Amino acid sequence: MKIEVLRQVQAANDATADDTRRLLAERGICMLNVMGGAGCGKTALLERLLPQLTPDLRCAVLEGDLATAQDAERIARLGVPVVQLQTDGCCHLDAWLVFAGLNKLPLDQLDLVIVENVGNLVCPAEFDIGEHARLAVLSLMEGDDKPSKYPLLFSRATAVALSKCDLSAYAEFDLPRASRDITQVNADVPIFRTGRDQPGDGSLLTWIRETHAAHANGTARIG
Amino acid sequence: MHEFSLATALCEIVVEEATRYDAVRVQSVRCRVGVMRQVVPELMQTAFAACSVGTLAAGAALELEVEPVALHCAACGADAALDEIARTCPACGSDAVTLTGGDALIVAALEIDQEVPDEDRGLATGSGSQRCDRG
Repeated sequence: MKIEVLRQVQAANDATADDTRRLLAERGICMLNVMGGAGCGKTALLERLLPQLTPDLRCAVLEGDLATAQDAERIARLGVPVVQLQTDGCCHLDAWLVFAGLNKLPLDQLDLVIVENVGNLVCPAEFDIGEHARLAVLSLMEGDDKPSKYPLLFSRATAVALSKCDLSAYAEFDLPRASRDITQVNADVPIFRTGRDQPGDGSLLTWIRETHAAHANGTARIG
Repeated sequence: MHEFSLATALCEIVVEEATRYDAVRVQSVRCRVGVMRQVVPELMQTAFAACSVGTLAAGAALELEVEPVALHCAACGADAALDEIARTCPACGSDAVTLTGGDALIVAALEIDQEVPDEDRGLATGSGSQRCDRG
């Protein structure tokens, strides 16, 4: 007997992601999903941005890693509430783990939750975790060919941060090529050149504040 | 290996649907996968086979149907549906292209058995003579 099904494979995950968005909307919280390969500088980026965000926005972080709480410890030193999500070998965060992590945060005292996803250019992009926006991070040291090799991540990004631009003198990175490969799959995505003492950090901060302002009531999802 | 995560979710849906129709076995599953997912078919087959062990879907054939990515060229106006990601226009060679879609991951259809097939009934009843003949 043949049965037509036509169901999304990830429907169960996506249903939990929708529950997360409802939870966030009830609390007036915006959630940002930060994704990128291992070592691209996601934690360092948060270490630079959070001290500049927290005077105006009450922030918390969910840290996703296969093992250890090292990244959560770095964020905790900034005085920002943080929960370490350990996937025990899974290469991405899913909606269930993020929902559980959110419920360990002081949600009544927050404006913005930043999820630092597992370091991986492939799998995290596949899973809706209930975020309002997705920031894809790519470091100059990883190479300008990564947007062409990992199109799904960049196609689903709401913004892109090219990180470690302070090391541009040491990286053979064809910026026009990388930008072209990104915009081929995501025409209007803003691309910020970030790093220590880089002006792109300021532009990214503005984008985060604008994203929060647009979505703090948890209605529409960007991108 | 993201195929394993996807195959786990796929298997859960297959078993749920098959159970709804009182299936005793799933013969085949047709799954539509977008080009942008970069799923390796062989890995998906292996992952699905592993995930389905001990379930109604054990032994089911997995048919992967490709959802193409849509390419539009701003230089010549060409549109194309591609089964592989391309960064230049197939018509004029320009890199002024945009790629959209091609990210589906859908369980399209199942083929199930709602009763034990005839060829399996003999084995199920343990007919010794049939085993000898096959030996």
